[in-house]
Amino acid sequence: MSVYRISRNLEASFIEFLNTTLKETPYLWTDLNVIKGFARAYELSTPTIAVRAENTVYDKVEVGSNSFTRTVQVFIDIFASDDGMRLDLKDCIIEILKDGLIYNEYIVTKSGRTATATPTPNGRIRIQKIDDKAIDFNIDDKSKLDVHDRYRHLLTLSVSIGRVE
Amino acid sequence: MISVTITPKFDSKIIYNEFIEKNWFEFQSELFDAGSKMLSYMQSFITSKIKGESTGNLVRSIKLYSEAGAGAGSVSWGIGLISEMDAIAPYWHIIDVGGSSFKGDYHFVPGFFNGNKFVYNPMIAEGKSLPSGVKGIIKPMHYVDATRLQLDREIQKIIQSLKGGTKAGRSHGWGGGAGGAK
Repeated sequence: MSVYRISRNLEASFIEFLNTTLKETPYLWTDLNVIKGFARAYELSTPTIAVRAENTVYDKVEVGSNSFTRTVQVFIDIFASDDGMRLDLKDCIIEILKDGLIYNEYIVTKSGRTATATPTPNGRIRIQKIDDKAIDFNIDDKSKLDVHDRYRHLLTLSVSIGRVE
Repeated sequence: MISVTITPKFDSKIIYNEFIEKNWFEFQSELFDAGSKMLSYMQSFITSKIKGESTGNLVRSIKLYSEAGAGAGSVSWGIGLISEMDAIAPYWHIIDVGGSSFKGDYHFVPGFFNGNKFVYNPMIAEGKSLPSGVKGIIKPMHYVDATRLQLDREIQKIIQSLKGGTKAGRSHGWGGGAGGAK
């Protein structure tokens, strides 16, 4: 048995939430892949969303204290099949994430070769800021790009779980 | 049973009038210094991501520019001039956002050939084309977004320091207030 720490809990909470919500009514993105990381997106068909938590900053809660709060940057890369899908998908994601989501803590248990991550809700992830930009390589002939790079979008989120550590 | 309602009191006019306008020159100076700090942060962020290799021309291509027209009433700067970075380190964008190596005649992928094998390295070459059929995935470094996160934090610190260092900051009590206990 192993236990995820905060950064992995954050990533896994995002992935689970996006994977579930985007495939349900009214969004119904049933053929969507939601993955952790980046490189694996190039092995999958579009549309794919790649999620990863990377840069973190820590702020002391008060002078002289060893306690801090953390703000994490979460990157959501969207690999779409066309320009319309790119815009629709990023708007759906913003719509469902803007109010925040449940922060889960995960315990991973292994049975043979199978690992199962069990979530336990323990707080809320608050979205402090969303930056939204198309990834454009300024190439007129998109056929020179890999199919995954033709219609890409990047959402950069600053998030907090509001917890003093 | 006691319940407490906390009502944040936040008025941007008070923040501007009492902390920024009254301490304008201090605020301007701090913000200008933030430009140098952010330049240094971005360069060291890139260097820290490269283990045991040269950072090539990317770090050298990133410079601090004061914007024309900045005077006593404003402060303005920018980090990295796209036209200059395009000329010195044309792979700056793909290193930032990641992607697949380009096909065909687009000489954009940094790295070098070791015999027939292309070795991807974002920093030590100026961009080479890959042989057909060879592909490489360039993982994003996000050095621009990392610096923006740091800049947000720096601006918060500057405003906090003005608040703490002035009489206005002590007497007007912006930034939150507690409601009564019921």
